[in-house]
Amino acid sequence: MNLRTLVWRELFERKSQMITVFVGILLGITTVVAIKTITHYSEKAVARELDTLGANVLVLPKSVSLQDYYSADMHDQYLPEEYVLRLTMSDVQGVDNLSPKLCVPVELEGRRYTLTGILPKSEFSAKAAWAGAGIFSRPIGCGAIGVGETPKPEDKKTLVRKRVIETLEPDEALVGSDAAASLGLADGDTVSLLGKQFSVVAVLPETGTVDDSRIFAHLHTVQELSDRDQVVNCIEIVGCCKEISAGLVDKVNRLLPDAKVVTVAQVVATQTKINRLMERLSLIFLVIIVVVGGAGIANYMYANVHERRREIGTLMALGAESSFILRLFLTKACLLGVVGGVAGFAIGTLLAVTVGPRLAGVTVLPMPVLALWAVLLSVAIALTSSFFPARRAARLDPCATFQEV
Amino acid sequence: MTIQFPRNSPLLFILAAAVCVILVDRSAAHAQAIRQTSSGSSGTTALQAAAQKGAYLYVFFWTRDDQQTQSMRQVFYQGVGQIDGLVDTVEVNIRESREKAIVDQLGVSRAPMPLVLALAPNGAVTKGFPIGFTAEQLRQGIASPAMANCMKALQSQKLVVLTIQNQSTPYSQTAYSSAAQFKQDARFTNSTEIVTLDPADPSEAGFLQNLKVAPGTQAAVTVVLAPPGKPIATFTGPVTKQQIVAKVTAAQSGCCPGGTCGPDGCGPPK
Repeated sequence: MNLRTLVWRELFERKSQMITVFVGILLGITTVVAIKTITHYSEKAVARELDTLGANVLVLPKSVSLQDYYSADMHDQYLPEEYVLRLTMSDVQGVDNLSPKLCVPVELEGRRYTLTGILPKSEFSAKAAWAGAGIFSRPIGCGAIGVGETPKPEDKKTLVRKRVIETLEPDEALVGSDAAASLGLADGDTVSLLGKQFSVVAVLPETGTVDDSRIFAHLHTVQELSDRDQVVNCIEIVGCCKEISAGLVDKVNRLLPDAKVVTVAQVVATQTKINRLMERLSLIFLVIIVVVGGAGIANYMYANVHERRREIGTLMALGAESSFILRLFLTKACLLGVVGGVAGFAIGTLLAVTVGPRLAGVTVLPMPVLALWAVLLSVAIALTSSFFPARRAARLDPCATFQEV
Repeated sequence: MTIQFPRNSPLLFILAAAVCVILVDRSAAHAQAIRQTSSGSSGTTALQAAAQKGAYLYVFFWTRDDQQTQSMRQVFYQGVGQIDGLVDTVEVNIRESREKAIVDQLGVSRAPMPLVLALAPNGAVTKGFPIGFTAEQLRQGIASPAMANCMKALQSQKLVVLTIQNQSTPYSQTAYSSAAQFKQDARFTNSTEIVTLDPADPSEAGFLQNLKVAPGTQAAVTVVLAPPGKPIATFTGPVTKQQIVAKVTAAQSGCCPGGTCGPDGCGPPK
């Protein structure tokens, strides 16, 4: 009888105890992997959002929370569209770009998508000059100027980065990458939305955000098709950082007293707090695994060694060395750790991928690197907890165990 | 030779009466013109009439005759009455189909109401006053001639090369010929306007202050403005066409001509 056979038999000797210990490891690893995966993608989304938007300000209806904004702006609170022109014509400095949005749900091929109405820059940029003489003394804004040589056709895909595009015809649509993939749409295709045919002018690159499942069309077309008045759900403002720190938010608040004005810095701070909370939760679960799981394994192993000391003594009397006994118990613990780690990673990843997008509002993908960490952690806990019971077993005196018979 | 009319001469009386009739008639004609534009049926007609007369046109756009509109209407007439110079006014209800032309031309169908737009004789919108304003603020709608010319070009999405010079400023000729060469460049010819401004003109002092150019500048100054009114380059003294092209090209291709981009800067990264 070799080590492998002994370990296998040993594992299934007391199935209920073994399953209890295995489930303990499994649950712990599952939780840690799920939290780590969701946190990682949530942090990435926040970083990407910051990188994409730069310094940003959001104008939302008073009663709308940031969570509502993050969940694809799908709320029933509205702002008058005229706020866009109030901002454009105002003497508030540091407003570099505006992106008003109106989101309505649409169903295509049995699946629900978000149709987002956006206002191209051409609709309001010229009115910035209506602010009067003050425009000449404003700081130089961000973004390249678009005059001079024959203008090149605009790359509509820049919408995901710049948040605003120059022009968009009433029958044109831009489709997010996920929506395009599931609907089988490509540039130049047509799609029927709310009874109107739209020409797909661009499939947007993947962003990892809710924008991937959106379809964008002209704001006024979306308002008309959805029987909405001249309203929007939110206005994104790309503003200059210096001006934001110089009180841009307060100025916009004074200009639009009936709206809620927040900076992306505030949004990011909120999201970062959530991420930190998740990190701490992850740490707490890690400690729980180490303490409870480790104690459980140690207890199981001690009980096992104690109950089976005569069998261990017999093995040693038959010639098994202490190192063999030690390896026997440690191999058993190692196997439990490996299986618990692999299964914990698999279930944790599955949980993160399915539940993560609902919890954090971001697309979550498997993180293979966590598999290694999950197995290492699980094995380390199992081995550490089993070491002392295994050593005790290895030090048993066969004579003493026979005397008990 | 002195002509002496006897006291109570009928000729003097007739002459005085004729002068009075002419004055009253001219005044009535002017009042009629104003009334026509004020209560006229078309904002477009008022716009054309003001342009022909070289007058500013203040347009009062409204949609609901609520308390705010009524109150601002009073302020509007009071404020416009205080403005020196030839100023016409017109009221436009944006919901009236006959006003569609001017509503579409100025793109105010979704603007906050009431809204007052000041239009220069050249058609440039020199200032917008949405919802609430004071009588004094309405004066800000009057722009200097050079500023109105710049605004007109900028509102047509053109670059403006503003040459600030007169006969006494050194390098005037060099600066102007560089600006002209820039405008002749095939890449920029259709999208560039040259506007000249006399730094000694007191009416342009405010505009120069906005451009951060000293009114008594000792040398010619060339300012390149991009829509809606960004000064993208200022050259004091001699300037070459290549320098102007370099600045415009940088502004066309660069992300932030005057700042840094990305999360720590302003605006999205290129």
